[in-house]
Amino acid sequence: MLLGFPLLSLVIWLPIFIGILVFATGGDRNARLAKWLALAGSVLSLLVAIPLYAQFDSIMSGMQFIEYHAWIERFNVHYHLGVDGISMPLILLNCFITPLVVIAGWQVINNRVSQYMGAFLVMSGIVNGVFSSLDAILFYVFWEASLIPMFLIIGVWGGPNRVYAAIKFFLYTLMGSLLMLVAFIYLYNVSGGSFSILDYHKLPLPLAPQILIFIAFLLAFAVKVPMWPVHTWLPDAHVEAPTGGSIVLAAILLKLGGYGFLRFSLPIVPDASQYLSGMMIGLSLIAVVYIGLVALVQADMKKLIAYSSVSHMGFVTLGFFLFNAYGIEGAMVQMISHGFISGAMFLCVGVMYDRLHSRQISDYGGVANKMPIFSVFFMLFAMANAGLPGTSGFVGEFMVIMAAIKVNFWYAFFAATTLIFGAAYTLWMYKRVVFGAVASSKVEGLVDVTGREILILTILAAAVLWMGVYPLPLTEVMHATVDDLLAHLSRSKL
Amino acid sequence: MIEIQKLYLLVPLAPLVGALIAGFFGRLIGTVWSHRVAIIMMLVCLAASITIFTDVSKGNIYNGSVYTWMTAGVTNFEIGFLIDQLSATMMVVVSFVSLMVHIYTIGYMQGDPGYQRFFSYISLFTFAMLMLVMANNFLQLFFGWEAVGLVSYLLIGFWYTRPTAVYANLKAFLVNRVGDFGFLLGIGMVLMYFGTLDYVTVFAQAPQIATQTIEIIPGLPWMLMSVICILLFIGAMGKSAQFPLHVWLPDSMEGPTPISALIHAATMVTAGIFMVARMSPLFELSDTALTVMLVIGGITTLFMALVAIVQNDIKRVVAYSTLSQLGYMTVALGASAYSVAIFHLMTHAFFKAVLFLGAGSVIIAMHHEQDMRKMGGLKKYMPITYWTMFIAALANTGAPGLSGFFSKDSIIEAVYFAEIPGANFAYLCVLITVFVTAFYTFRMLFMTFHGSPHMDEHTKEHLHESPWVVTLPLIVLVIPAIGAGWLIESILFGDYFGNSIQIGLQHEAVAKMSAQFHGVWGMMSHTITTIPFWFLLGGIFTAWYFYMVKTDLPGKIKQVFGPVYTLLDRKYYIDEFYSWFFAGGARALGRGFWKYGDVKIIDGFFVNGAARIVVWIAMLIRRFQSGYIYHYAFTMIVGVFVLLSLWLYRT
Amino acid sequence: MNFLLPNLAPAYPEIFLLIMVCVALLAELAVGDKLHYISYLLAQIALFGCALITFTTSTPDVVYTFSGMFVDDTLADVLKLVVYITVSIFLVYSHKYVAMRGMFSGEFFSLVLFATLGMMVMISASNLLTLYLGLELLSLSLYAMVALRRDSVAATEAAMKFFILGALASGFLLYGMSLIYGATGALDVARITEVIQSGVANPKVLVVGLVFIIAGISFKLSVVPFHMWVPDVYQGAPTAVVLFIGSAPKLAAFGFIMRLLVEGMGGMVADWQGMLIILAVLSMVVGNLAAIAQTNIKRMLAYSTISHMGFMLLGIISADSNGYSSSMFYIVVYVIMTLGTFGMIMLLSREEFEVEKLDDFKGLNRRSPWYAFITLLFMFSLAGVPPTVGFYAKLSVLQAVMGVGYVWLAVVAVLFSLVGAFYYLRIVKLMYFDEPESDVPISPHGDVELLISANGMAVLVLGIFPQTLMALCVYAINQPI
Repeated sequence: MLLGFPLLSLVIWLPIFIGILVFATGGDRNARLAKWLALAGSVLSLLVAIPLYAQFDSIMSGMQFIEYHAWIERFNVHYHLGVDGISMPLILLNCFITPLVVIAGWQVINNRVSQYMGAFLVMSGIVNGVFSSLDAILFYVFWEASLIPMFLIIGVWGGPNRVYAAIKFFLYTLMGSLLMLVAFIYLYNVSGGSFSILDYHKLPLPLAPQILIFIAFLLAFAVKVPMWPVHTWLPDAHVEAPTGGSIVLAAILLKLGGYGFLRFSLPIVPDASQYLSGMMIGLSLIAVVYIGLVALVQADMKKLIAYSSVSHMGFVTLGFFLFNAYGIEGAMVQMISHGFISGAMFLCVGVMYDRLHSRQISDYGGVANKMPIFSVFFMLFAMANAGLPGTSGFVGEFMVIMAAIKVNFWYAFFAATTLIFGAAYTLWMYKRVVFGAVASSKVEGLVDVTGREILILTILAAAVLWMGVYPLPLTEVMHATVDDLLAHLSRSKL
Repeated sequence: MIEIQKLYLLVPLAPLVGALIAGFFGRLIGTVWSHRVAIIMMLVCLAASITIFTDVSKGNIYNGSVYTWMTAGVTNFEIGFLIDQLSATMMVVVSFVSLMVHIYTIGYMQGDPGYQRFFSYISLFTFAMLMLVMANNFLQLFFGWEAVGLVSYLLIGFWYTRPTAVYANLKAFLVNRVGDFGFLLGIGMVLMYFGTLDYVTVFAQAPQIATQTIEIIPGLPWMLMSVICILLFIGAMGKSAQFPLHVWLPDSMEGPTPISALIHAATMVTAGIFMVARMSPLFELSDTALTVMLVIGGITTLFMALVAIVQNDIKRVVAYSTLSQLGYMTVALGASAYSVAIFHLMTHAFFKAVLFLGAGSVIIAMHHEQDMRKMGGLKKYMPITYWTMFIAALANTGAPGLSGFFSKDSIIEAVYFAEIPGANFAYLCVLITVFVTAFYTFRMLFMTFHGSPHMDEHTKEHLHESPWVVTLPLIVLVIPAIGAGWLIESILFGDYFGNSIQIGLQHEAVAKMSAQFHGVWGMMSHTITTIPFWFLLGGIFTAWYFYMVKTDLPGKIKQVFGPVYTLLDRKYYIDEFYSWFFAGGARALGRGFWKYGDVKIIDGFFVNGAARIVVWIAMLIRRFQSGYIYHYAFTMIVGVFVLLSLWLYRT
Repeated sequence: MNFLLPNLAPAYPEIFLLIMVCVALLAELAVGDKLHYISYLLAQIALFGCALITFTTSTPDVVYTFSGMFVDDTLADVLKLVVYITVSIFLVYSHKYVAMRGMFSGEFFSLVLFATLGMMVMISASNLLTLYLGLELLSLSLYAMVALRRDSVAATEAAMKFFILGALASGFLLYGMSLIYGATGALDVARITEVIQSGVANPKVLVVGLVFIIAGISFKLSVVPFHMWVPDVYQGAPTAVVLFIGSAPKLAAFGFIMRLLVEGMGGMVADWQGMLIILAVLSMVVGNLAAIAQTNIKRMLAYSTISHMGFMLLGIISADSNGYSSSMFYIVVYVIMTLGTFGMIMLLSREEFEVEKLDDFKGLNRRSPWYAFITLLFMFSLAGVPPTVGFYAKLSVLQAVMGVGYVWLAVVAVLFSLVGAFYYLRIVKLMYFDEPESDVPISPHGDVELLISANGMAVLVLGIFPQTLMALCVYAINQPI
């Protein structure tokens, strides 16, 4: 056993360290070196993360792989790491996505390669830090730090309107998190000088401050998720970001918000969560229905998928606030699955964009004629996006709908409309892009996916199918933690 | 025993393997090996199905899990099989029809660039359908349910360069999704009230909550079972194309003909019927749900048959005929005559497959011309096709002695005996439909095979009977289309289905029929005295008169009853309404939300508005910074003054 | 008459510095215009010597001397050490810049050293007179430094404004002091404390005095509405001088607040707390908002300073040792960031080319990824984004102010720091997202290059390990109170 081995630290700092090495390879003259180094680093990070799953004790509900060191004595801040059944899968997801992003940018990024690759690696480490921090300040540091690489990725390698998108992304998310910081400090003062998240879980609080803290957390997490109506940064950010950026944004960064709800909102302010659950469910359902309809009329593929992301993440927040095991586990599954699917969808759009330099649906048509292999993959992911059983997209939605019906039929009713809207916007786009006769001379010139692209798409496809056909290994590790969380939620802190 | 259980897994997996090989390695192994592999796998599947069937008829019923799909909370979601008379019957029907279609495809798809892909799809379809049929729980049922939908989507859009095909497949998927929407909610209700999705457990517990009510709309207590059953039935309406979710089926004829035969006649569309039959212990507890099925089935039967009269596309006639026959089955379900519904499902699978494949054979001969007005007199060129189709057509109309007769007459009788509200309406519908069915079926036959040829010379020169791979399935299929009906006694009145179908004591239709039944010969001789028989003859006669004798009559009628004709021709304007109201409405709503909600209000007013206000204030402050020292000094003094007055006032 | 020599030991650094200034002035005369490097070196030596003395003589004890007019405690020691380091770094950053603009003269260095002396006196003052003396020594040096480029219209104008408004502020301060003196009959900080606590002083007079004193300090701290000089002076004065004005004197001003408000008028905490809340909020609002509208980088940084000082006041407002140490930490961090930022501006400036506009940062990442990265660190640190040290500065003061119950103030503060983030981001945007306008290579002196890299790294490393610096500030504050 690796008892006492600082595995989590390794998972955090290894990619950051290699990322810095990648930066250090310098300008574009050493692009090849930078790429290979980045690939090696990301794969290595994935490998070192595997013991997290392999050695995870799924019977235990508490934190595992704990590391605890003094850090800032002035504020009693500790370098306190640990994972449970909620955070561990997310770390794995993150480590899984990073190599794909590196490969996805392999030939496409020719400009400031080392900075691009390095930024992703650093971000990967930072995100692992977010998921494994058990100290509020440590968490916050990682949380905010993750903004910087993404800001640069969008701004430097993004599309024509990238500046607006990048700044909108940064300020929107910063707005939410600053209030979260205020909430942390409040809790620090109330708890008699502790920034330990686990201490906060036990801290009794009256309802009024609970509600205020809930709202502060809500702003931070809702922006990340993103929930309606603070979602408008996402379509802009996605449209402008380079493919890798979009993948990471959708697959990983949105999960930070969902994770925050589980780690902070629900356990720290359970009474306020119960009290405001109606509002949260309402907002989630608006996200599902309203955004589903908005996605329907998008002319830009990335925007469409971005809206689809918002809609799918609506299921995540919906699941959380139903307060039953199906809901929370379903939401967790949905987060992981959305990581694969949205990543894959953005990748597919990226594959086409690299060839035609357009994301407008109207510029395509009949892609299947020229890119048959690609079309098969795209079909699989589109179907997964539409929540087809047998793909990962179904599992989470199914569980959340089951959870919703337990609480209120109408919640489930509105949630289930995604069956129709999700299929409508995804397949309608698919139809216009892939089916039909070759639409233009540009489409005529398309060439099918390269080996490199097939590799990434295959890995993602395998993940999507595996999770759809056999989600047990994933849900298994969450039970103990989720049960614990639910038991905790049912006890009032007033 | 252990041996036979291994076969269970083989049944769905063999087609899956076939699909994967043909799909991923199709290009590698070539067309011939692709279809060989797929067909061998189908043979394996059929053989296994028959073995299981015989085993089951000995009374060996199996209910067990293959693996745990997922656990959530305290609930285990399993993938498993329930093998009983009902599922075994379906397995045989599905694998048999599917095998036939596989063979037929060799001829029909010859030379198509997507040859291997097609085999892959239909094998995959068979896999999905078998998973659906063999499921022992709602979750797996839903899996198969959606998976057949997916393959149907792929197959309808098989010729993806045709705009109509890709329109049709999208439409089919979405309409099915509307049904699935209800279905999934139904499953959710089951899970909520029973705590499990396992059939056997659910069925066992069902009577305990038979009288429970829920208030979905506060203040309106509804029967829980009715809500569950109606929600489940909404799923069936989508899959089995019942009014008003029928719109996708006619359009789905855009797919290659074997698909129409396989999916849109014999298997997929019957999934809904199968599902309701499977859920008989639940549906028996809700008269309301049965009434709904009677009414919906009745409407579908009659009104879709009427549309078939005015169709000129040979496949569309068959398609509307299918809709109408599905209506029959639904009516049977509504009358609590589940076994009758399954019986009709079975016989219909055979004769409708023949009709579709026959139509396909005609289409091949006509060089992919489907308009019947351009056909005529094909009988002498294509005798095998003609005769098989002729028999199937008779079966479709319910001519005594053929399979369709036994099943359809039983349905009519069952509805007659049923005492559930709505039965009278349904009875009226099914009765009239007998006439209409006879009329449109023979109209099709006459227009296609009889009379003078209307095709162009080039086509005429090349007219010939289809190759054996096409005709063989026709012949093989026509045998059960003739003979399957003779099993009526054991299927309907014997103990054929065992406990797989349960009928409540208060629903006596089948019991009464059983009392009236005096053997197949008795049934046939008795039929001459009943209305349906004379309606049938009347229909055939009218068709003959209109299309063989006074061939100008249809045109005149068309002129006289212009509005009616147009209404039928436009399929009651349902498509137009849907595309205007639902598709257009959703898009308009989406655009409204986007342009006004997102762009104008959230982004424009709040986000950018806040930014604008900030900039505006910033400019204001900037103007304050005038550069004049006395302004600056003045500001300082004001500052001091304000602080002073505040604090002096306070103390 | 028995003349007793006072205990000079606590004032050794000041005395040493004074001697060194004289030496420098003489050296200047001796070597003439050619070898200004001597002056530069002398100044550095002087600072180093001071640091050495302060460090070696530092004890945790509080020592009074000159009849209680001068105090040496940990606060004084720590602040002074930071001042020496700041001034020394400032000299490294600016010597090249100054030389290119013909300001590289002995008088420049003597003025810097005099100003430093003034700051030291302020920090160690425990009497209204010493305080004022130090302040004026500092101010007069600064006025002169701004005006050092006689041929520059902008600089002259800035010096004029600075001087006149500064004089007004000094007047306020002096008037306030005299009122306090009138009310308490004491000039000695410790004595004032006693009198106020005893309650015999006229509260009205005390309040009026307090208002004027706060007005005077606010001017030094550049707090709204006593901030109007800041943008104009920042824009008009040579960048090197701006760097000086913007950095070390803030430390002195902090010392001033500690001595006068906290120690001397601790009994009136409720009054000055309220006033500072108003000033802090105004500063954060005006500073952050106005900065957005700027196109001149120095003006923008001027408003940035204003907002930061508002933020810093939050710690003082909380009026406990936790708050004071947080404020001190804030100031120190602020000084580190200011040094880096202005250092970078000077580094990018060339002969006859002043970096003035924001657009001058365009495409820096293309020209030099390393400097762009360093600047990025400064900007995120100014914006308070982790993992840079600026975050902990904000964290500390927010914690302090919330610790005493002012949650709303913390919310206002974070909201306006969000506004603030925008204009810092804009610099990052210019550096990374835009194409460069010029491709003149950046060739700084080795020492500057090294130091600014270290400065940037400090922002990052202190962002990861802030404990030591925080502990130092706690150590400094906890002793005297």
